[in-house]
Amino acid sequence: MAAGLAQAATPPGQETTAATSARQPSHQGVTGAFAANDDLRRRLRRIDRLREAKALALTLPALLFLIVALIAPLVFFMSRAADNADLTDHLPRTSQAMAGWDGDGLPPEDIQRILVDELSGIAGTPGLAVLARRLNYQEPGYRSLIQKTANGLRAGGSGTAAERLTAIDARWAEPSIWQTLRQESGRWTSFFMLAAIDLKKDTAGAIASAPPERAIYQRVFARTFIASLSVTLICLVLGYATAYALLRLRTGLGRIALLVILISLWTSLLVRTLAWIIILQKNGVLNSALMGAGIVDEPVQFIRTWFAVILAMVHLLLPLMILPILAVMRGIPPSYMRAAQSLGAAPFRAFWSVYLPLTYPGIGAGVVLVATTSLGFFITPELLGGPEHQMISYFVAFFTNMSVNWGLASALGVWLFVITIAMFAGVAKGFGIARIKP
Amino acid sequence: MSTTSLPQRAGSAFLNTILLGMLGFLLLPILFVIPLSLSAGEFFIYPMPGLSLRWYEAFFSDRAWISSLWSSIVVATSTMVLATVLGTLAAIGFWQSRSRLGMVILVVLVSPLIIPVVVVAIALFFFYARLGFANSMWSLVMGHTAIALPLVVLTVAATLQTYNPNLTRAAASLGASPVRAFFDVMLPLIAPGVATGALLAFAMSFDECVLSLFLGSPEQRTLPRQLFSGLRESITPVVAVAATLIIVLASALLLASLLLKARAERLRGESP
Repeated sequence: MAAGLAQAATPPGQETTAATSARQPSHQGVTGAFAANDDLRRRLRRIDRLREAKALALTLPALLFLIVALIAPLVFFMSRAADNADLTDHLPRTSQAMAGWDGDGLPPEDIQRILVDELSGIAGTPGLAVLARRLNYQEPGYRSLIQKTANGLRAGGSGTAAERLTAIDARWAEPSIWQTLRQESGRWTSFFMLAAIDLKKDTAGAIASAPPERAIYQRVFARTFIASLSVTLICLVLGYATAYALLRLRTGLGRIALLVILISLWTSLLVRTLAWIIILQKNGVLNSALMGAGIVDEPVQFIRTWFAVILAMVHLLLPLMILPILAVMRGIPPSYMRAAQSLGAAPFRAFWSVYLPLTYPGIGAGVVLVATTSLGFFITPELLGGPEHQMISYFVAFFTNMSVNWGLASALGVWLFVITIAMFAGVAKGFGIARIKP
Repeated sequence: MSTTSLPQRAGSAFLNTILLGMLGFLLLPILFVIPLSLSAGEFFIYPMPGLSLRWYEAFFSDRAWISSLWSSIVVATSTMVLATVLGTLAAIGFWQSRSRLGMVILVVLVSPLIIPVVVVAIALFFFYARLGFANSMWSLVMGHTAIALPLVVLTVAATLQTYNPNLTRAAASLGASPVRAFFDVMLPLIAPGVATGALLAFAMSFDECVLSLFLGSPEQRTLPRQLFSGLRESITPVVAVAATLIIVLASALLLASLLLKARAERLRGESP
């Protein structure tokens, strides 16, 4: 209502609605005629602002809920990927002292003494296990080194700190453990984020590749990305053809076809994965058919192959590709194609340079949906694939549940999140999905 | 007619073949599941040795399955109510807003759609574990609601595009309070959209498996969670019974949503 009034009140020739005038204060000179007008405008602006505040207030409950239920947990989760508390909480004074050391050779006696004090202090407490585990992520073998040293120090001994440490384990006479402690002395660490993509800081602080036997995540990321890309491309080709074919059907048949697609979409992901187990297992439907037809003599191994994982993923995600493309195709008047053809374009050319570009928003929406969902796939590869088919989500879950390395789980999750957002932004920009109406 | 008619007919046949193939690809695998629930045999394979209802009996006499069915219904219903109320309010607010801030809020509300679900699951697990209620049903309801919220917001916002704001103004000019105008005028007209959003929220929660691997009470697993362990550990036809029940329920929800859509189109035809 306010908008309507404001339009009536604005002088002709000034095409501002109340909403835009509220944002852009006018700079007109104040003559007598405009003074009253300005007063009115101010009041209208106030009404408008009130209206806007009321509108935004309605979104507040949902927004607050999302902050508590999702955004705060996500921020907390991401901070874990850089959290170094496992180390700094248990060696607070050592970490502090390390900051003042130049990292050359072995640290001076006073720093070594602080470490001796702190290690003997936490020996026998649960904190020691946490600290030892945390240092073991840096370098395998540090777990036993720390535990052995702490227990040895608690047993007592005499001499300088350096002598006592070296007496327990000769590694304390080498710079590497000290340099690690110095490097990781901050409250926050880049260790997990780097480790999640097979990188680490070397002793000089430069970023280097992890040793090949420990480098697995780049391969997993590449595998996840390639699987997602293949599934998306297959879905795009099949989905586009299906949508195009469906569009030409008579209403009745078209409805039935659409119903089939919707049934598939609404059927649980788990149930559809189960269906593929029935079909692809050793004595499953497909093997029975192949053997019955005499094509193969003994069952083919389908489960635990890429074939099974990709096939099932395409099946699961295809409806998400078909539906947005179909929605966009429905809005394209057939006359456009006829116009192109009447201007002399061959059918293929008319399709390629007229029809296809018009469907870009639908393609974009479908590609975004399929690509982002498939990047995070977890259940289907777990049930249909073998160890070499697991994607990044699997490792995030693995490091949370099985081997409790929450820093690495968080870091892998953050990378997955970043890649998904980047993919989303890239595709959205490329295809202009913003143009689709909701 | 013209010379293009032969290639056109060939193209048409080609497209029909593709369509038929794709529809078969989408539907047939699902259809293989249902008969197995009626198998008389011990194993999860065709051909079945005979028909029987023994696995239905096994399902309904197993406390673990029954309680998982029940907790799924409770979680999905709570999610539906929470997401529908919050989502509908937010969609109306966004619809009324004219500022850029409204758009920003919409983007935030819809963002859970593109966050990888395993990241959501583990983030909630860490956070709620620290608060001490990761093992309660409510952690799962909150997680599901966060994911279901965008579905409701988008559906209701789309429906509001067809709603004529003059109707609310007319109600106000006749003396109705904003609340009364909402319940008597706006809600009946956008009800199909709201109900569709509610159905989507319910279906999402009823299906969701990854969050329930990490959250929720370990004693009262949801049906998808129970099905997941069934698939990983020992596959017997009782798994097919659970799957069949899920298919039946999903089809019922789909049917309901289609009826609602038809009703919405009728309402749109009637309103000015």
